[in-house]
Amino acid sequence: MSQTSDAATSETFGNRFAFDPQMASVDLDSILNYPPFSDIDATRFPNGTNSIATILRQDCRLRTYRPGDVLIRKGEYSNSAYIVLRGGVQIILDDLEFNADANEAGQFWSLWQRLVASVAGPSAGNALRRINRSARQTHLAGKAADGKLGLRDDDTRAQTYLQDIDAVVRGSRSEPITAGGIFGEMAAMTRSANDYTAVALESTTVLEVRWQGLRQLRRDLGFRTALDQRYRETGLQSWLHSHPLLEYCPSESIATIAQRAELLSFGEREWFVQYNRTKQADLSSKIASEPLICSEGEHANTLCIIRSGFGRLSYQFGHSHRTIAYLAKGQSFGLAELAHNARLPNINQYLPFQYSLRALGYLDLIRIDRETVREHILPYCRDDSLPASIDRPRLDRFGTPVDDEKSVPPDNLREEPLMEFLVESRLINAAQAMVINTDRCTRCDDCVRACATAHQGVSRFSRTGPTFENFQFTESCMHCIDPVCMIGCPTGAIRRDQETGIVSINAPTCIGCRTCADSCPYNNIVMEVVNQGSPARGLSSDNELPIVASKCDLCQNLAAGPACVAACPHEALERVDLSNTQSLKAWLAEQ
Amino acid sequence: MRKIRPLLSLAVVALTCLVYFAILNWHEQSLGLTSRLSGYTLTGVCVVMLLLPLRKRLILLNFGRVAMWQQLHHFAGLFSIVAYFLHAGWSVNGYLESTLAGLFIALTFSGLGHWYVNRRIPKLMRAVGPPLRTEELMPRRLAISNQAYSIALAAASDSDSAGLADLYSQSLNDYFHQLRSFTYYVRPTGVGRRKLQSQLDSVARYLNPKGQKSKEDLSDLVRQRDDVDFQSAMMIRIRCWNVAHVVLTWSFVLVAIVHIYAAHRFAGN
Repeated sequence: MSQTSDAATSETFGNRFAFDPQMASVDLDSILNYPPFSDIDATRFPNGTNSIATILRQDCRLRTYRPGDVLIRKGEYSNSAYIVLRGGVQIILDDLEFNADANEAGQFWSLWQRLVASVAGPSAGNALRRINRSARQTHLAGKAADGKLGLRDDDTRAQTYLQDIDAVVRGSRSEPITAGGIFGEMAAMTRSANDYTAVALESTTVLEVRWQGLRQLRRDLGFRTALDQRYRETGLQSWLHSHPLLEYCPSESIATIAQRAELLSFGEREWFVQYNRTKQADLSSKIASEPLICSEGEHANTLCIIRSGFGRLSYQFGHSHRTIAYLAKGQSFGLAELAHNARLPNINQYLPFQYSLRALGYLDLIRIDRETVREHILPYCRDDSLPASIDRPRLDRFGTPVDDEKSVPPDNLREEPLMEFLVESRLINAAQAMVINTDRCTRCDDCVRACATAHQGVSRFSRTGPTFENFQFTESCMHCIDPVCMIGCPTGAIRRDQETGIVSINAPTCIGCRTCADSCPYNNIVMEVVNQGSPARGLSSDNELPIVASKCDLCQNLAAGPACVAACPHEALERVDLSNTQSLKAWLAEQ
Repeated sequence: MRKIRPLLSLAVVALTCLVYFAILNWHEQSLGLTSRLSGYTLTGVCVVMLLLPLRKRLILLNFGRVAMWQQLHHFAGLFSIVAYFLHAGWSVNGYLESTLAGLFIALTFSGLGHWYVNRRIPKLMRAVGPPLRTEELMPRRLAISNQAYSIALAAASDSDSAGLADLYSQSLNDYFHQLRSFTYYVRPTGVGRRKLQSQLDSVARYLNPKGQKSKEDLSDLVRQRDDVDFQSAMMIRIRCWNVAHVVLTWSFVLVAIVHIYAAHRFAGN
């Protein structure tokens, strides 16, 4: 698109699709004079839609917080990074009891709420949220008596706050962020959940930058370097602190690990482009083209911990590689070998890596060298958190395969064909995959009808999709761990719910540009014709009527949850978290 | 838990039956009207069973999964068999009561049959290929028949494969372009498919290598078409059982209402 049309588009969409329309009247100089904006090379941002001013007006908003206000919560998804302009924020690494369930308010009360919410019909979701909010208020008020949590509800937004911030900060692992500091950027950029809670220490003004703007700002080398350095100093340490393996490491060790660790990224963040292009290629060539991070038989001298994305764990089998598992955020590679070798007295007995690790699409990890692992990690690990000794290695100390009969992968990684299928079809990205057990499904289509009933007569999925043995992975939005459909949405109409992780499309702000539908590697977003007069710009090729993107929203407005699951009379249809091998195995055991 | 649930539920039903039998016995010894108590019990059980279709219609309401109601329906159904015989005994008199008894027995068998086909047929369908939707059946048949026609056309232009074209016009054409017979839908078998495949095998010796390949392709298409027809027949079978069960249910409800009215109307004190 040309500069002129960019500017025109910007003007047309202008305030309508801005993150906060009120940013149009904000004096930008008061922001641009603060770090990190004062350090940005403005010439890297040409005028028009990509100028800094446009980014600030379009993708940012100013928020003020009172002392104790909670800005982001650990475990919640976030689409934004926060830059502190005035005041200060405390990052709390420990779990706080924010996600108190409204059901705790009482079983009978909870049942009554659900009944009321059910009878209220399609608008029940809002009613339920109001009820939940009041229940949470009641619940939190109870907590507030302990001097910990409260909920303030003003005209514009409900705000959770810590009543006695000093008490919470004193008893938790935490660190401060002052003016000019940034937080929440990793969760926003990697489309993952927050690893910490952020609380305002005093009256604080922050600039909330949604990820679309953050991505543009990262084009500036200075901004990017400052961000990475900042991450190494605070974000990485917070993340390491929260990792179960490093739970008992002292802060000094964590600081040393953070300083020595290598931050590495493999593949492209827009991995789906390559994936769509090579979908039909044969598996061996696909595996061969994946970035190899650690190879089996190599000297085991590093520990890799995955920060975001997925890695393929495989071993050489004949002329190709056989996938035995996939590694997701927080999982590590090389620990078994390092821990095993550390128990041995003689370096000549050390085992090499037993498997290979490859990046599946995009992979972001930290690599820690063997000496650091030995000095700062292993001494603080409990025995039960370390992998068992490798009694039956696949490869001996020279990297030569041991007798084939013995060289079997660990028992908990034996579902190889299913693993391979899930990896190849990238279903491992699914947090809420719709899986139909075809041994139970009678093809009655009650699920499709229920979906249509819940969505104004139009079903948001059809009972079709890839199958593996008796499981059909239906083409319905999987609310991915890495929702690539969100990349490039020009109006921010598609976004992930912070509390639930549900990815949904806000129809009134969708302009029907098809970006999300084209990005989705699973074809789970369709374009739907809407009434004339909607803001949609895209037109159907069939009848020239306006179209908007449509997909499964997990019936988040229904108290009963997904209508498809509730409607299946044969328990054939389930929503399964495929991104996590533990939940996958638990589900398989149920089948 | 899911695996032991049927046994657990059966145990609960058996226990309920024992308790119910004991209550009826006690009621009889107390000189109470057992027929009235057993009648009301049976009516109650029937009402519980009728909650399933109601739940299916109110799908957006948060009253638990339909699967749970289906389980309840199944076990209430089992209990109703015991409740029925304790209420009506082994022999009934009168047109109304005989009709009602006939409907109840038919309904019970249709329910048991429906339960069985719901469990058996999905496995049979899975064995013949990926699941198809009803609306996919005709386009799939059409695609297969077009493919077969193209192969036959190519074979007709090759003098060394003319036997294949002859066979196509004699029997394969009808197989690909027509729906299967009514008897196939009642009892789908692989006899037709095997017959055609053996005919294809019998012309193999007249074919050149290219014709052999075409024969293999046609044989594969015969199998594919048979798989589609089998899935179609199985889907129809499930639906037929469902329709039969629904029709019998409402017929039974109507006659039962008349019976309840009559029982009250002519009941003595």
